[in-house]
Amino acid sequence: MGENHTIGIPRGLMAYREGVLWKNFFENLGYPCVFSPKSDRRILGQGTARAVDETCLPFKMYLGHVMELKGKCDVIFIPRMGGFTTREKMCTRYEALPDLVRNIFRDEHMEVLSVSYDWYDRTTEEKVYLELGMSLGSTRKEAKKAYNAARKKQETWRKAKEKGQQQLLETGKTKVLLSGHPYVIHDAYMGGEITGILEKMGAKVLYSDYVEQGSAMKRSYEFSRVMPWLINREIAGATMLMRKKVDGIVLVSAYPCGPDALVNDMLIRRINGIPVLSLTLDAQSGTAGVETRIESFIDIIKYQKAGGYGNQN
Amino acid sequence: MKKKAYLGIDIGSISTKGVIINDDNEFLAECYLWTEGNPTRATKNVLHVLQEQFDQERYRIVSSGTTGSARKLVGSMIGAQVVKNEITAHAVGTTTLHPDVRTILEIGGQDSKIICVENGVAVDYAMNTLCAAGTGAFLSSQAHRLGVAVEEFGEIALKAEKAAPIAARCTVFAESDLVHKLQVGCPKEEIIAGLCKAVAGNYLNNVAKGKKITAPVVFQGGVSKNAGVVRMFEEELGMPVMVDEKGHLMGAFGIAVLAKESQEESVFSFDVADMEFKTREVTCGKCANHCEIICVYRDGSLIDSWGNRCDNGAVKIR
Repeated sequence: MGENHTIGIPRGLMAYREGVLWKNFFENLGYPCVFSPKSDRRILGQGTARAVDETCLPFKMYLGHVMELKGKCDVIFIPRMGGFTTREKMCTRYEALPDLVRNIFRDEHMEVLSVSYDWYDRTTEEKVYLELGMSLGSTRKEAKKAYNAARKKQETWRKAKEKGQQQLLETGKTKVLLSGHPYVIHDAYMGGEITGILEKMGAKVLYSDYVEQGSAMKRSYEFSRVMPWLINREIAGATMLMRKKVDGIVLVSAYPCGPDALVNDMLIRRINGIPVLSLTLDAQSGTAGVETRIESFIDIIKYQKAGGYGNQN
Repeated sequence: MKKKAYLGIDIGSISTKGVIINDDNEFLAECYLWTEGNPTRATKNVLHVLQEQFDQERYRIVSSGTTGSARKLVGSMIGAQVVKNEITAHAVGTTTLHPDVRTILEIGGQDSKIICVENGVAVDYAMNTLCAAGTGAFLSSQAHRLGVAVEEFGEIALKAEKAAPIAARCTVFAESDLVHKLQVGCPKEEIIAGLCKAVAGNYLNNVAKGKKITAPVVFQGGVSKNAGVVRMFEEELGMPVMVDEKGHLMGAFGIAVLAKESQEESVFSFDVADMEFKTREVTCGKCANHCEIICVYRDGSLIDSWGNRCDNGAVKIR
């Protein structure tokens, strides 16, 4: 890869969690980055056309984003993430991501740039990024500097989100926590729809991934000692921490997410005392079903606050 | 001076229900008929039936509400003051007639739900997801296969000595199960009892999964008219299950109560039943989302539209 080569980052999956780190790391090394645009129906459609039927909605969306970057960059960054510890592993989708993409688009000759790590390698994030930087021709020192600065940016971004959300907690409005994978709840086409409907009904929306990450992880070990998925740990921990601070919780899952199917069921039984709505998103075009469910949910919260029917007007 | 009355219409996928109530929540008129895939026509028919029963000398309709899956369409059609989801409508209707109710079971034509009530207000609910197994549509299709009218199911089921085990998770599996039972010479009434048991079991294991079912329990929706399913629920739950005579009208009743409580009043005329309504689905081409926008026309002029995800797709009403 030569100088001035542009790196494309698909706006999907873990980009919603670590995109700031990736972008800044590459830019610090002198490579401009470009993100694919926000999700819409067309992007999902083109991704679905290339994916096997049984895979999950966010992965189909991700493929659409990869296609969106064609011709707009020289190489696409697709990390392979296995997790760093045995109890904080990743879903198989992220473990196989670069291989899946290479294979699906094998006739289109897409250049893929990747990092790769696994919990059994006993490696660290810093180490894998230093290796990536050096493989791109930087010295160890340059790569380390680029990584450290990017990591700092990522932290600053997180802290800002966490702080913003903390302030939202103090408003008197109806507060609803949207719990789910960041690439579902922040995706314009998936979670964005739900946020839109909730806000239209006068609720303030909070997100599980904007809860202080360290405390959420700690809380997740009280929830389950053995649960192996990192992101579900963050979701479960954050939800348990927030359950007494919000008026309702919407658990959002994208069909057919295996870890969510197990963990959300357990979560519903552990969250006591406040209304919980469990939504499973599929590639349906109409929002009527979701709207009815959210409207009923908001009604439950509002009438409960009002102390009965007939007290609202 | 004419007394005030309130109209409520519940337009479901299979049936359309309408009621008119007075200030004391008494039924002045009621109607239940099939939607037959045409909510506008069904609503007109309901209005015609209600108009005949309704004493227009003594009462005047001052407020109306719609609920059910076609609530938006019919809401703009009749100019309803309140357009609300069926969960709230059912909860309001049921708690009005049965203030002490704790659990509402509802099985309709294509959906089923459970509503948990505390102190007269819904605190939790669940609805069936993608699949309509174990709803009225499931029972109808099995009745068709057995050559029995679905209305007779309950009576036949009660005659059975035991219920044949039938899987109700999926209509396809249930059907092959059912054929198998017929082939091995299982009596029809035991199969029908098995279907009723399967509906109750499927409901409790899916829709009501993880929900605490506390007495008093009220069972409503079209399937509540099936005495076989009622008995299976009572056996499974080990508590009495109440079926209200007006259970099938509860959504319409609830939305009429909400219309009354809204205290918004405007003139309602049965003339809408004779107007022409058309809906058109337009695909918005202004961005890649290609929203499907529903436009409703009354006698040729646009009266309402919805379905756009952003303002770019907003259709102007002239």
